[in-house]
Amino acid sequence: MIRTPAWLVLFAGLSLLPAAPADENPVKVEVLEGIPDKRAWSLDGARTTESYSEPGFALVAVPRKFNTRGLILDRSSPFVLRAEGKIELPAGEVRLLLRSRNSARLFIDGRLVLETGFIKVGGSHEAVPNASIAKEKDLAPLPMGHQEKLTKVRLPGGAQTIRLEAMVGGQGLRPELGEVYVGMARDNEPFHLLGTSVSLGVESWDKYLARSRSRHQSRDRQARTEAQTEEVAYWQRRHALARRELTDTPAPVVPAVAAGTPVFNPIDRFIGRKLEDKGVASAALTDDHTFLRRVTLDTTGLPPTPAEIDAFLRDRSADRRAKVIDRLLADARWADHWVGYWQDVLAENPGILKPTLNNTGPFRWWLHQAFLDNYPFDRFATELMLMEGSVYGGGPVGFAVATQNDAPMAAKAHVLARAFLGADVQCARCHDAPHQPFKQKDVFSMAAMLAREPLKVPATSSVKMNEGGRKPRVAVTLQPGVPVSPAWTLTDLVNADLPADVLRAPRDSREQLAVIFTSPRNDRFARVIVNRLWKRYVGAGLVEPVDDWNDARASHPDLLNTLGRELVTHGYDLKHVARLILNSHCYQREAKGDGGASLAPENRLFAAPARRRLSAEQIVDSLFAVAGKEFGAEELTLDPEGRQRMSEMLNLGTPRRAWEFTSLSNDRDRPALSLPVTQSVIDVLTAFGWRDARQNPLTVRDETPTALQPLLLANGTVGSRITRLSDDSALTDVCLEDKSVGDLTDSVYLRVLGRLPTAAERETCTELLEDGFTKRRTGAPAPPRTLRKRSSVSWANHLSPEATRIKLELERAARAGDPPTERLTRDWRERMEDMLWALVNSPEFVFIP
Amino acid sequence: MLTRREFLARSGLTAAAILHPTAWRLDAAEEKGEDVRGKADSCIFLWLGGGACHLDTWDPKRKGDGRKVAGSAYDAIPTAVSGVSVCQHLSRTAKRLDRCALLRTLHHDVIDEHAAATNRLHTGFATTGTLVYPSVGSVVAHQKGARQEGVPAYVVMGYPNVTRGPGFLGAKHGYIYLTETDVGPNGLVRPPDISDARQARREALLEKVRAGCLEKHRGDEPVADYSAVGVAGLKLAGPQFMSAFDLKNEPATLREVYGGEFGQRCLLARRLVQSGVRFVEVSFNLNFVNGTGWDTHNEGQQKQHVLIDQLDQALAALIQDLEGKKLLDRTLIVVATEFGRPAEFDSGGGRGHQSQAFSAVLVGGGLRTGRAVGETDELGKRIVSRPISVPDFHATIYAALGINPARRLYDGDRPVPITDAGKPVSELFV
Repeated sequence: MIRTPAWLVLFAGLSLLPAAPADENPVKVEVLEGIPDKRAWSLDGARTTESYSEPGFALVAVPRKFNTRGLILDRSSPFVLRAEGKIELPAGEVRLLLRSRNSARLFIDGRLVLETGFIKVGGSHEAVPNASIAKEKDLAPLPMGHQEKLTKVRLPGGAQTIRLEAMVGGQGLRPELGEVYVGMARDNEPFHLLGTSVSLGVESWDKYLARSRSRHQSRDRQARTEAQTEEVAYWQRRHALARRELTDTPAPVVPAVAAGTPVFNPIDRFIGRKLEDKGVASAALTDDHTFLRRVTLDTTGLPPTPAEIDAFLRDRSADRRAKVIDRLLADARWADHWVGYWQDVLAENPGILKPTLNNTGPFRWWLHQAFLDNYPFDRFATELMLMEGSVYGGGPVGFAVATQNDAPMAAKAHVLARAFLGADVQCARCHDAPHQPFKQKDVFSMAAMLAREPLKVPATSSVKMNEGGRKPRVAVTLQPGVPVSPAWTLTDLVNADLPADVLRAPRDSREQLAVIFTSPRNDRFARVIVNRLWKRYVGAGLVEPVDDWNDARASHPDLLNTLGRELVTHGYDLKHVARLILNSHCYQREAKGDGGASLAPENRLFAAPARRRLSAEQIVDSLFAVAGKEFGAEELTLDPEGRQRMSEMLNLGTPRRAWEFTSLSNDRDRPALSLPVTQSVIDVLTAFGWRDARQNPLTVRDETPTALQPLLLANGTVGSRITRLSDDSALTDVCLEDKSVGDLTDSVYLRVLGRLPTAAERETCTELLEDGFTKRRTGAPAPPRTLRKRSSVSWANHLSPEATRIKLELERAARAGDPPTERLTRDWRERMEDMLWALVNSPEFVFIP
Repeated sequence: MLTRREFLARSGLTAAAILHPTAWRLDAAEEKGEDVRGKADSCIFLWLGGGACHLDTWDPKRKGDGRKVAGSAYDAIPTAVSGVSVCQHLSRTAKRLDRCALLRTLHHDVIDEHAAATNRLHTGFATTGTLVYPSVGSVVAHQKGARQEGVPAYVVMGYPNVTRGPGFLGAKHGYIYLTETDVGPNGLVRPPDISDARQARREALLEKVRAGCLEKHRGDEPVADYSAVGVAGLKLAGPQFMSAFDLKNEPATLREVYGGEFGQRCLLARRLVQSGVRFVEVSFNLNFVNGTGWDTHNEGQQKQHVLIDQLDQALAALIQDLEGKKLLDRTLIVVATEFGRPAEFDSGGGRGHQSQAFSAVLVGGGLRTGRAVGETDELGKRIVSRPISVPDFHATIYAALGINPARRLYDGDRPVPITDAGKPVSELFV
């Protein structure tokens, strides 16, 4: 049974919809799968796999399908959505409208009234269709790749049965439903959604869409929770076992420290003891503004809002820092901030156009879901390694893909060993590692475990001996073509002795490998993970480098072991270890330099955490958060019509957080393929170290300062959008509020830098802004929100000159950015913008305080 | 522990080093071998994306009929080099072919997707999943830096692509790019609504804010380093370098000689090279002329001659202009594409892809030009003599620019050869 969340009922109550619980909606919808893949309406063999209900005759979201692990599954392709309901209809002549992407049919009392055609698959040499102006006034524009049919019918009046069927996917297409709905209108009245009184005008329809999709999202969350009950129980059993295993081993002793050494929790005793031994004093505790900005960026990836700062400062309780940490750890944005990290470490590398450069599927959606649900980390690693779910829909099986790679599973073995065991087997992919204890056979044995069959080394993944008469400096002991059986050979690294009753498919080498990695007997796994957390929050690892432990020693071995044990005994809950670190004095001290990352372990003391630059994603997300603006980016696809094959063209949706962007690189140099607003954001991301290609795993990005970084903030398209006071900027609203120059300065500083200005800074701002301040408001009305421009260009028509012309125009519009508001006088506005510009361009903005 | 690369990056971190990176210290004993005699100090890399047909440009064969009979689409004409002919639509370049070396036997094994082949031609390696290889432009930028301080080493005119990127060499060896010559690169061009007076006010405000920030973070290296590149950046975006982008400073007659937007890109490339940029990649951007650009499937073939003509006009103008300014001997022009096309025509009168034999051109750069290297069979399908691998092609470019093609680059501590066992085309060196 699906329960409607309270907020949704409230939301629905404000709308024109009846405030009925979701399962009492009048329109029943069935999902039919197992349909023959033909361009025809033959529903032979169709079976109903899911039922739900909708408030009206609109189908705009498909319920997700989950397996028993809670992973997204593909439905059979094609599948059909069939909506049916008996509703009261007026007597007399009415106009009916049917809109859909793929073929759809409308029946009244069993009689076919309207039908739209099947998607024309493929194409690239077509003409750009005319701008999508609706044939009828008061109708939202027809989305790209959609079609509509209109008819008039005479109705008898009274209750009649309406049936709406929509075909989704098939022919290798992406299973995108688009917007399927039926409108009805009498005489010259505007259309409304059949079964409701919702108007089909653009604003009302947009609201309905958003509401409907968010209702589906919460339904999907619920369904996922229900689907994985058994899986959750399995992991609870494993965690109980892990606790039992660990009780037999002695825990490190927490050292005593002198009275003056600051201690917030046991972490500080391990750190403090070594500082005392070396006679080094720790840095001072940060002030509250600094702490809040740091911890908010570290957990959510975003700076604190003025309201969050205010609430924190008002709380005078002694444990207010601990309370705010708890609030932030429970924040859903926690997941957003982790995705970018694991995209790098696990080399998530989807390509939206004919991917051939070692591309994977878009398993970003699984990553996000895993952190949203706060998966135990052993489960996270296991699910990744089992590689199940939907390839293009976001399941971990997307990790298994490696386009045009001659030995995909060897590449994956490298990623996994590096991510979870801190074992860098990169060299051993093609030859025996010269400086590490890894042989090529080790990598291929592991790869064979993932492949569930013996593997041969391809000649292209070997080093040819004696080529050019020069002797290679590396050894090759495994000859190409020799089969390598599935086996765990790195027993020096991790013992393959597994606890009983843990394997669910004991003969499956892939699961065996997952358990070898994640078993509580493998303490290396737990230590590698907590060290990754430590590095992320403190800026230098207890072990460096965090992804290559071969020659490495821990700076604080007992602390590392203690944190590892904490992870295991607390059900592999990352948030538990994060909470320990964030609550430590060590984390909350004033930052400086590299935190000792470059020092030998015995000299790495953590007197002060490292001065960390914001990640590329944090910079982009912070910029837009400060201005209260949306990216305004295009849908991340070159096929918005949904007509190209899924294996060749993906649609990664419209990004709302920076991690959702993806490379637009397509090596074609065709303006018609550009997504200009998206590109302007990607320019910033790339300059600051985000990778537009993640062909290989990476933990520490290259964040060397380059001149292009500050330049993109100073002059770039994104930088200009952020500092320009346009009507869609929250900063414009701040400037329009009734307050003094001093208060305005304070709120701008809080918003942009998370702190109050110094006396000198306040004076500079007052000097700059005072002139004309009282008359800054022109009294011009706020303009209506402008609708986003939809382009009609897609892969099917991108070779036409018109497509190039349209895109070049959009590029110019993107460069021009958002026009300035007329609600502020020009002269004052420009001075305020210049102040904002200086704040955003201050080095302070791009560093974690 | 820092990796070797990180250590070097940190130890060499000054504003100047960021814009003018020095080459890695190299283990000379490991890298002896190639005798590097190249004299060129800059490179203009003209990219014909889509796969330009060698039979219809640099390696003409007997004529086909555009349908059943396979062969070149156009007549062949003689050139300034006796015994070497090119297609009739390259008449201006033909007169200057003594300045060119035609490489007619390039080959590789990637045909099914443009991105993979483009990656091969730019990096010289197949993707492996263990590291991302740098493009030829980034390698040159990394090895030689910019020719002038305060100038970027590597500029792309075209859309940003992974294959043009710095790979494991890191972002500071990446490119700045622009997509329209009259607009300039994102980030370097000041927004039009920011007057000089406003910019001055902005910089004065920033100076105060920055000083406060540095005072607060005294001795904090990462902050100081970022602040330093901020100062360097504003200089880079200043009038001295940015005036290079203003084509209006060129005589109108010269602009006309260069021709359309592709020609203007070539002219801008010359200006950038003059201002100290080391490597400029210019993508051919006239795809709208025939819809498909050089990827002449089906009807794309019909107006291919217009593309060739535009290439010819721009290339000939560039050669003549560089020569007139005494820059040709020290500027290497490369004309490259991801693969060629077969002699047969498809059902729409166009052509498919062919990677087992195709052509590239090297111009000037102090090379022994005026020759065609390598020979293909009667329909340009197979190599008859002197195959040139993609690594050989890159080794030739590096050698021409005075970079030892046997050198090793480093991804962290891991040595990576600069080319995959490439050997320079020795015929082109004195």
